[in-house]
Amino acid sequence: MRFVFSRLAVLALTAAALLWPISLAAQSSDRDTLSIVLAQAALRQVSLSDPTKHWIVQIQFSSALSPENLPPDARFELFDLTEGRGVAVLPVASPHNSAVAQSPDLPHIFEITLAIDSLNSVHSYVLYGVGFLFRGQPVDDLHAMLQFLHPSATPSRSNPISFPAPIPTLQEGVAASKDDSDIYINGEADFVTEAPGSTRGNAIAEVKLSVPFFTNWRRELQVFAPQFSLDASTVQGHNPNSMSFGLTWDSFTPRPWLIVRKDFLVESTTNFQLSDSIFAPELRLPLPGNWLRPFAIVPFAGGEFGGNFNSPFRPSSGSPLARGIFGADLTAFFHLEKTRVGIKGIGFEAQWLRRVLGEPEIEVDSANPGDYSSAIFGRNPRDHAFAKVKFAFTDTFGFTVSYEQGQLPPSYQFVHNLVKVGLLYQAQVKARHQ
Amino acid sequence: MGMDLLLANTVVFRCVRKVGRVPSITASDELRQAGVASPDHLHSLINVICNDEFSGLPHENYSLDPNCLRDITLATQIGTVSQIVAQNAAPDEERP
Repeated sequence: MRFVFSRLAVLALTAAALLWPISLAAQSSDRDTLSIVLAQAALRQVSLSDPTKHWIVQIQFSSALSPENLPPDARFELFDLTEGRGVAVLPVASPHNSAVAQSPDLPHIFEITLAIDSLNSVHSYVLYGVGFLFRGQPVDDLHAMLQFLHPSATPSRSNPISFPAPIPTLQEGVAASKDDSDIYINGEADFVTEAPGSTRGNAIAEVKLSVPFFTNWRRELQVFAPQFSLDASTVQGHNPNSMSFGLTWDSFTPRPWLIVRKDFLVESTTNFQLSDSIFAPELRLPLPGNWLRPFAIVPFAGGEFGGNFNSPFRPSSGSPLARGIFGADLTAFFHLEKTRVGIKGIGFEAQWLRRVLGEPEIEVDSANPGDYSSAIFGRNPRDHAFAKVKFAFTDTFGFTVSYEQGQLPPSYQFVHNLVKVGLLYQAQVKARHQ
Repeated sequence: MGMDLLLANTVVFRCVRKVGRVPSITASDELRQAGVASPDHLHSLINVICNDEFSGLPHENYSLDPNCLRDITLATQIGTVSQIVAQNAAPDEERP
């Protein structure tokens, strides 16, 4: 008797749920090339034999798909578009899923069982099939929109659903490159040999502050970023010893692989003894992101044109500057599950840059960095390279080990195999939505 | 203001594929995983979404202030970008 009552209750609940006007609408964004569609199905709220309610998502595939030959990593991913977060990853072979028996001529149906609190009936969801095969070939795009048809929850042009206002916070820190950071504070240390057998510690500050803003001009995105950058050390005259401030202006073309950058900068040593003003146009050519993933490589080439307006070295004071520049940036970040030592991820950042001088420029003797009378003057190419490994303890705080070699304007004091360790705070300032 | 989430999702996927060149992506993928792997790629994506007549919002007769996408990073999930686009895009006829 109790069994019969239970079955009746389940049937009644199921019927009531089916009458609730919700359904699953299917969509494939590659309709022209993809003949598999996550097709008509029902999203039901039912009570199973236990008192716990569940969602059941029924997914119907076209018969061209062969679910019995699926690779083991084939899975469904459910994404909540309203909140912008993943809800569930469900391997097809999961005990939560089951293929409903069908005759060979009919489409295949999968059922996914989800906990009742995993879905919200006023949210919008998209369901992805990942790792599925069509005639033995991987399917690039297989997704279906779960769209509730309840009038108050259905997004449309005339009835867009409401979203929670984004909360202004600091976001993506150590995972970003220095270029991508609005606030970048890196305190580092190394050892300086001042005389044979005499070394002392050197504290280094590397600071970048930037305030980027976007605008459209002639249907092209323009990014303006006023910025200030300081690289200074506590040992007088020791590297690094450079400072710059000005504006970086990036123009984006219809081709994602071509970016035009213009820098308007004043660069100087930290005590302003050597100061230049330059205009630096540059073409940046980001390689396709799927090459060498997760490494991103951006070659660049351009020029730096301007003049020196302050120098203790008479031949260079007031002289024009013309430099050709080329090189490449390389960045990567690997997220880790929280390790025993608390590292959330490891980042890598490197750059090589060569300056080919059109006009003779100063080169401060690294053995006598404060003595400009011993500086030489020439047009030999000036290279600079650095590599930095970052260990992220939190999203914005980390530990760094870096290596540097080469010469940087305006003093071009040579840095020999400099290895530094330090602590890093790095963040982007998130703007408030209007 | 506002755009259908499904249409926004379709536009964003098209643009992410154009910039990142990774064919198999889902909304829960971070942009970095989808080949949008550097600040240059990220800003190119914003440009394509807002301005590309073949892949972006102009193709659907919508427009969007690029500053609405200023906060996205390489760690932002693709679905979150769709959400921001759906929230802020406006049909062209509503623009002054």
